[in-house]
Amino acid sequence: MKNTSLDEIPMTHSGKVLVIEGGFQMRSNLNNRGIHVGDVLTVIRAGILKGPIVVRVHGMDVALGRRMASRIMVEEI
Amino acid sequence: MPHLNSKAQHTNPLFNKEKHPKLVLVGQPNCGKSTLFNEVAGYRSMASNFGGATVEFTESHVKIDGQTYDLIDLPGTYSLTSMDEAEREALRYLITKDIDVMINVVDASLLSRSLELTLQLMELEIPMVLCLNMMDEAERKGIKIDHEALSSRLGIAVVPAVASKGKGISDLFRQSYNVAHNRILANHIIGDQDVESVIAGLEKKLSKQPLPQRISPHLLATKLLESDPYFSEILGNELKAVESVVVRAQKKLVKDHGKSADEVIASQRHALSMNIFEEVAKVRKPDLHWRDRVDDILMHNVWGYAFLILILAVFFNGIFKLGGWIEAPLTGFFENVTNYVLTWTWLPDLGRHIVIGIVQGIGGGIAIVIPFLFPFLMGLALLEDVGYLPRVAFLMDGFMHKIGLHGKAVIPAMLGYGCNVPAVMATRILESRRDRFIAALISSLVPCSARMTIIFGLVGIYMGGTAAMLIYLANFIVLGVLASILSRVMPEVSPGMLFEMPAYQRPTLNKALHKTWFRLKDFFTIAWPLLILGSIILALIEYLGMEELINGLVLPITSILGLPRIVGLTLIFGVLRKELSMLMLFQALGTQQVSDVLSMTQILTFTVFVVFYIPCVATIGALAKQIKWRSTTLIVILSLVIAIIMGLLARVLGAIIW
Repeated sequence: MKNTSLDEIPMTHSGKVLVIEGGFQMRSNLNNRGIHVGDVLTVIRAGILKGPIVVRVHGMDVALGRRMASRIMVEEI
Repeated sequence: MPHLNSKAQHTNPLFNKEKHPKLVLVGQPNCGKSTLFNEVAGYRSMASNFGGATVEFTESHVKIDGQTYDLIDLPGTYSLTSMDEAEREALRYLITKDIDVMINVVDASLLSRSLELTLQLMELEIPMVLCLNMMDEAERKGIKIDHEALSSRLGIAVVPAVASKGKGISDLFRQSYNVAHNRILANHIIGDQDVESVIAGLEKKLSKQPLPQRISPHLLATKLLESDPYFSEILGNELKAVESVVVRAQKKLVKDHGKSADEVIASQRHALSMNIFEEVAKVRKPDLHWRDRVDDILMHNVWGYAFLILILAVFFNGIFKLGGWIEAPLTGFFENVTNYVLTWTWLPDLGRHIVIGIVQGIGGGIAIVIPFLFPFLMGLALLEDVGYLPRVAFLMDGFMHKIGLHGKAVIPAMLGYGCNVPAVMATRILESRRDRFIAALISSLVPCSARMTIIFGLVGIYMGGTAAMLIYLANFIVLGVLASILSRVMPEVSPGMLFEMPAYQRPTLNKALHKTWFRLKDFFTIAWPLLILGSIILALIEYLGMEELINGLVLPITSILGLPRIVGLTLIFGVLRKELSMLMLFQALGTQQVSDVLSMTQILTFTVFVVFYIPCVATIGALAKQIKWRSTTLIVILSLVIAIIMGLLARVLGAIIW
């Protein structure tokens, strides 16, 4: 149970979104793909060379770049 | 007599004097809208297993169970907040056009997320039907939806369907007809009381202002609270009159909820969707599917790359082998036609030159399209329909970031090895203008199959296969360096890529063929006319005996590179069609044994220069369409500068080796 950014969550672990650090545009983009504050994300893949991560949320897989992931604060569960 | 009447309709529905109900398909990207559209309208819309395939809307008259409809397929949109060109197009259509029924197509397996758009659409106050598409997929994911419960909760007709198998379509249109006829509107869904009262308060104040009539006041109030830039733009000056009220309402939301107004509204919409979802759907543990196992390999940190290389190797080798095999007889045929035209002594000299120009332009187009472009686009369509491309973007993202681009940029670059034209077209999948520009530059500098014939036909033959591969490698390095320089000059603004990983799907030959045809249309309408025009101009140059003049114009370049003066015209030909520069070189030198006339260094320099310099006319046309003329001009100049530098390096290198 610790708070960290999404890119720090190890594979197969889950986190609950606490804060999305970004403006209207970034929040809307994430919301549109099913990622909201309070949602539980499971990291199912992480690319090499600081490649993107894939999270499973609401039964769907979403790939997001590390930089974007680093701006999503989560509570590891 | 009704029978006769229906027959008349059948023969020519377009001439029916009655107004047809206008149905609009709207839904989130990759929800199967275009598949549904194509199922009834017969392949007019580009469907793919990758979001954002449809950028413009497509319209068609369709006839189902004796009734003709005007059916429109809008680009996929996640929400009524427009984030890109495609979404803006969809939104503009919805709020400005007269629509009888809006069919909200929903991927049933993603119902909870999709309901957020549904709730927003309901606020548009347009008669609406919900199509629960991909019911089979939902079943597989363990989601069981009570569509009747959903229907009564939302107050709209809900029709389960599997569009790809044609299931539920006839019912969908029957319901839509009914809804259009009775103009049935959705329920007003009330969310959080606190938020609703703020929206209602604002709505009331807005109603006193002269605001656009077409947008429902509730939607407008919500959008203004969210500070949606598109809606602010629509209001323009009228916004000033209401600005203070909006700001006051926003402040209230911030004070009561401790977050920004748009977040408050988004989270209430999300909560509402989740609640409705939980009311109408039961979720059990999903069946473990083979597709998850496939991703464990294809997206694996080691095996994923091994398979990527294998798949690309098979793909490219297949196309080059197949293409080379088909190209030879085609080129031969057009050579024969040219020779035949030469015998038309009854035609004046000028006429003969023009006819030959036209024949070569047409032949050039056919000799690119049939052997290379068609198999290439076909293979790509299959990979795309399976859903492999987003996986490639995932695998390549780490590498691409090293040169300042997203993983998605790898797709156009990859296409470029076949032909630069579809590669440049494909840059539209990138969101930011900066990314599109850099990707377009790279895509137009990747050695396409035409340049491949030069690399292998000159360097390959005289210096060996390894030398030819080294040219590819040099090109790869130059493009990498170029991209990383550019990405530093034009710093990144977007925070990174974000896309869905679609489920793997079984591709069908029919769908792939239609998609290929769709993309070829770009070639036929842009590239080919330019090619024919260019050929005619070249024929005229020859007729007027202007070769010497042109050789003189190109002299600054040929002399820097240490190439003979007569090579000048061939370089101009190369802009028209890359492989022409080699064919013209043979003609200019008067022999196919290039090494009799040119030194090894000159052959190397010529090849390197041709690989990098100015994209062909067809590519320039595509560039102008995708990134506008200013950026295109910049790319043309940049490519010429790079080509001269690389040509000089080749000259120096040659001097050292030989």
